[in-house]
Amino acid sequence: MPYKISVRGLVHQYYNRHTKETVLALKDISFDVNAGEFVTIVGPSGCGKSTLLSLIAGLRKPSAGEILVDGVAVSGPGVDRGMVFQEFAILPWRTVQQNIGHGLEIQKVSKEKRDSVIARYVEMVGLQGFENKYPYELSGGMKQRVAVARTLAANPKVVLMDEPLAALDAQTRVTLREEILRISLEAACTILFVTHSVDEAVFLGDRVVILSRHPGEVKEIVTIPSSREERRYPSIHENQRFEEIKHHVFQSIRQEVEMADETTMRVE
Amino acid sequence: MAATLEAASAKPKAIKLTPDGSSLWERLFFAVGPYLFLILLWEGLRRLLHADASTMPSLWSAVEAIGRVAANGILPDYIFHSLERITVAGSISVVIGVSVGITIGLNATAAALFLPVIRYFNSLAGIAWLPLFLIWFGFNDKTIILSISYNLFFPVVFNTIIGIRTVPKVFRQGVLTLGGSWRDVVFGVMLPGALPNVISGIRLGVAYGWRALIASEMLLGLGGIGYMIFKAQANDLTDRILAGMLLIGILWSLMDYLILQPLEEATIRRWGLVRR
Repeated sequence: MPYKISVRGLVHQYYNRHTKETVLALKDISFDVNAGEFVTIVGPSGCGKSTLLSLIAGLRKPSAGEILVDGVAVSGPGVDRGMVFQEFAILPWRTVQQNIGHGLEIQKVSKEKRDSVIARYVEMVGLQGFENKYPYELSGGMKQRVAVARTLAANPKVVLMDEPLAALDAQTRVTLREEILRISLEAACTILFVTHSVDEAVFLGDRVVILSRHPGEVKEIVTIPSSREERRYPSIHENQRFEEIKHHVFQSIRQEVEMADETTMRVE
Repeated sequence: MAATLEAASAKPKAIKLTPDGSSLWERLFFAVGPYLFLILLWEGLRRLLHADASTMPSLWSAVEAIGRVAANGILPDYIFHSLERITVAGSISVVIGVSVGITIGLNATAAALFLPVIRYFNSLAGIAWLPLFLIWFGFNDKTIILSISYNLFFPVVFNTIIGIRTVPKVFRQGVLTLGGSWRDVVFGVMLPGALPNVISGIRLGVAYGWRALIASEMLLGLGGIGYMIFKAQANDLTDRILAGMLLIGILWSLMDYLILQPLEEATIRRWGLVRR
């Protein structure tokens, strides 16, 4: 069976106008994602994990290498790769249901069809009763639920999530982790999820891709042994194996951060 | 100790930062209070300086003057002229200004080409063009309308550009990842996203245009509120000058209240883009 997403020898460099230097953000990234899989990407800050996601989304062009989705090379943004952003990105002049139905509107889906899809996703993310609210009337957590529903409603092949929980308070973040896990099973979609939180990466992912310090490379890919259905807070913390893996990922990233610090110190 | 406890249990007094949601009397006070102060200031100064009616007429005599010009039919005619001119000029400048602003806001080449020129001409006050407009178009409405349009244009253009440029990038990216085309981004994101700035640009522009209207009416002598003031000065009708000035403010406030504010209310406030 072909991979859902294949990243092959991806290199990204860009020109920094302020320092007048060419910066290598990602060097030679390769990994694959299976259909229906939940893969999380974690790494030290500045390792280029968000850049990697926007390359897959087609919002930027790679300097070398290629990205295949269902065997087709990515050349720009498209409806097959939905994205959830850290900054929510839902439109303030659209109500909750207008935001959720936006992708379908773009695809010129009929009003009746749209309404039934909207109703389904409103229910999935638990926003019944808020359909006609504007985003400013919602909390951060609710806004991000709208963004998730909007992305899923457009029926993408893969869902890219760029630190979607980073702008939320700690309590909401934990609740939404469980929600995303549940939604991922319910919607049966392929998810690529970028985070800087080890806890989040290990809790959500079927596999965790650890990126090295800048310039980013795939350092290690860790498989999480428990299934997504089994993971719950707080019982997950009683799982010895889970805690060991978390510790391993944490150490792996910490090592990168320390080495990055040494490099910087030597330069200085 | 008991005193502290008592103080702590006392109901804290609500702090009101805005007059919103307060009683009718309070709202009346906030609506009328500032004007009442200005009226008292004017009347107080008149008495203090022992000013005679031909230098500083009483506000009441100005109101009487309004009644007189209203009764003899000059006023409705002049108000109609002024409003007609600002409406025509406003429509022209808003259409051109918003279109130019969108083009420049979206397109870096257009910005590089036209922005310096627009900035240059913005520095030339509309009234500086009046002599040339007079030579080109003569003593008629075209000259007045052009001079208003000129002043109205710049705030509209600059605010539209800012509006387009400050639409968060992530809004665009979001729509692109929903499968949106360039058209979806422009009409679904950039234009509604720029709307708050466009509307404040129009509001500011109409205010500038209104001033240009009064100034050019004074100079051209083709009727209108500006002309009424100018003519009154020549005839030593100080109360009528004051009446004209009051009317300029009142007409402006009415326009703002009846047209521009509801426009803002209907869109950006409902979306929560401007804090209530």
